[in-house]
Amino acid sequence: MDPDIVSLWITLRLAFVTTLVLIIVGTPLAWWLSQSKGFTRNIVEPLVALPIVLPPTVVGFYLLIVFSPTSLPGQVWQSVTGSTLAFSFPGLVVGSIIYSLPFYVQPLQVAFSNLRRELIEAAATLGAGPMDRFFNLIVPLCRRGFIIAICLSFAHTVGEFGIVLMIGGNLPDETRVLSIALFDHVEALDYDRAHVIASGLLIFSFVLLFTLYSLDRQWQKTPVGERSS
Amino acid sequence: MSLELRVALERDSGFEVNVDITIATDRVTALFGSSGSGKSTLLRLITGLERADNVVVRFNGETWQDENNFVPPHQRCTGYVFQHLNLFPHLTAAGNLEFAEKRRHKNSSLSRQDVVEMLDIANLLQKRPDQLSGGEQQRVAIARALLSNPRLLIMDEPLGSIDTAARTRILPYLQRLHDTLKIPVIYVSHALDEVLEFADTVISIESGKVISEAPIFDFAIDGPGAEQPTSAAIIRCVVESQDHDHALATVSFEGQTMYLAAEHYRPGDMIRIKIPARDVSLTREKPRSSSILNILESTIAEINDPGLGPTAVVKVACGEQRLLARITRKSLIELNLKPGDIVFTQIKGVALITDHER
Repeated sequence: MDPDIVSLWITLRLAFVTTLVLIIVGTPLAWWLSQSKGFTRNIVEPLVALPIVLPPTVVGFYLLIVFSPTSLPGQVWQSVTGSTLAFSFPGLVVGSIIYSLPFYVQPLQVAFSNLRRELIEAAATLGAGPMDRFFNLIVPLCRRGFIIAICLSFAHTVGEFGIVLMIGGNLPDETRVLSIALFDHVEALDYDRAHVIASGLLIFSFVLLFTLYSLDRQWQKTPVGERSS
Repeated sequence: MSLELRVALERDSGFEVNVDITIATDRVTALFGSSGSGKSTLLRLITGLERADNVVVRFNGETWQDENNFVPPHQRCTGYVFQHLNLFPHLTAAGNLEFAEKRRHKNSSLSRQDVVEMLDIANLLQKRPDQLSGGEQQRVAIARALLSNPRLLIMDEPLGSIDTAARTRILPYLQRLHDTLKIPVIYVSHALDEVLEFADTVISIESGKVISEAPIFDFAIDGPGAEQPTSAAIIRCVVESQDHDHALATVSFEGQTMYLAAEHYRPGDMIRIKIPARDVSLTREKPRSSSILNILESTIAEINDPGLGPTAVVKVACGEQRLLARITRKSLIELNLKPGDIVFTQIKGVALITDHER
């Protein structure tokens, strides 16, 4: 198979798995950040945002150290799976989750904080328990936040480079994502192939953002679950 | 049936609520007080939407909260009608009703159709909340609360966020609820007219403390609202006959006869009416020829003369019941009125409140 197709497949798989894990982990985290006050929350909030400002290589460097078989997490992983996290697809997933976390958590946190509390209280007095309220009221009311969070974290994972280079290396069937493949082609002066990947990523990102903004305009005309007072 | 409520709450802001009451919940109980008096806090503690230390809530012997227990709001079966318009914006009116219906605890005697008819919302069901007026939204919200089959219906200033015109339209629906449903209601308001027209018992609250608890008839005369310009007496009477020629009902009030503009009564019906203090005047002699139909012989019970301003409030007794008259201080002096005097009470306006005095 064409190595670029393999890279495309790895990229999509990485973005998909990362986004899925973010939905499971990031949603409760965003809720907790939006609802709680206190010291722990005030520490966690900037921690979540760190990947936005830090160079990806910094995050990658520390992850590399954590993944190494001499550190505890690295040892645990190795004893369970028999392989190392560094330079493996699971390692890439862990890196991507951390790196894309703010892109998932922040839009959702904003959506949760803008929810009118009284709506949730009304649902409670109507007999809806916490899970019921979450899935049948909060999710539909915050659907805009969810879609933005999912799209951004997916797109951001697709476009990631620095972290992958640090912790994933460049293993053709394991960790070579599209952005790395592009880098390889440019280094090899194979501009034709570089053009295919670069324009593909460009078009993908544009279409995604265009769709997102259009949907957003439409929802602003028919505000769903926005704070009305 | 009773609701026991013990609250000793002090906020950092200095706001305090200190209450120890047992509310008989077989009727409509109003919590009356100015804003910031702690009424809403009490409601939130009753429903469990707010949790605080030193709070005991028991409903019909069942503990909802004490030192060791806390029943979460979704297990308390309290219907709550909020002050602010609060329908789920992503659902139609019908969707909002369904949300309540799906989650109700037991089979209710109240069907969706009953509720829709009672609140007259059939033609609103397919609309989204933002397509409804404030009054319409609040009617749907009341229907939604009723459909959850609550054991206790709590209304927090339900007319607070709608304009006066819509308020006058929605009050009859509330009165209809009051007449036909058996669900106990706790109604919070700072508006005297709403309380007078809707409540059976009134608990007055000021600065987080209960200052009085009285049946509506006594609250109207002696409560903190009696001096307000919109004050009125609430009285009970029995229908004697119906005068179809003049579209009037003849009612008996403490052995005297009164006439009401009403057509659909049968002799023996017990009704409750409201007589605004400003529509009542007093004379020493019985007027011979007057357009005013209702003139009652009564005794002055108490005179509240503020000592300044144009008006004074006089409480007059007819048998067991009392009326309020809002007269000028000038007349008070010129007629030389004193407690114990016999006077003729002329009533210009009478408003019917409920068809069924319970």
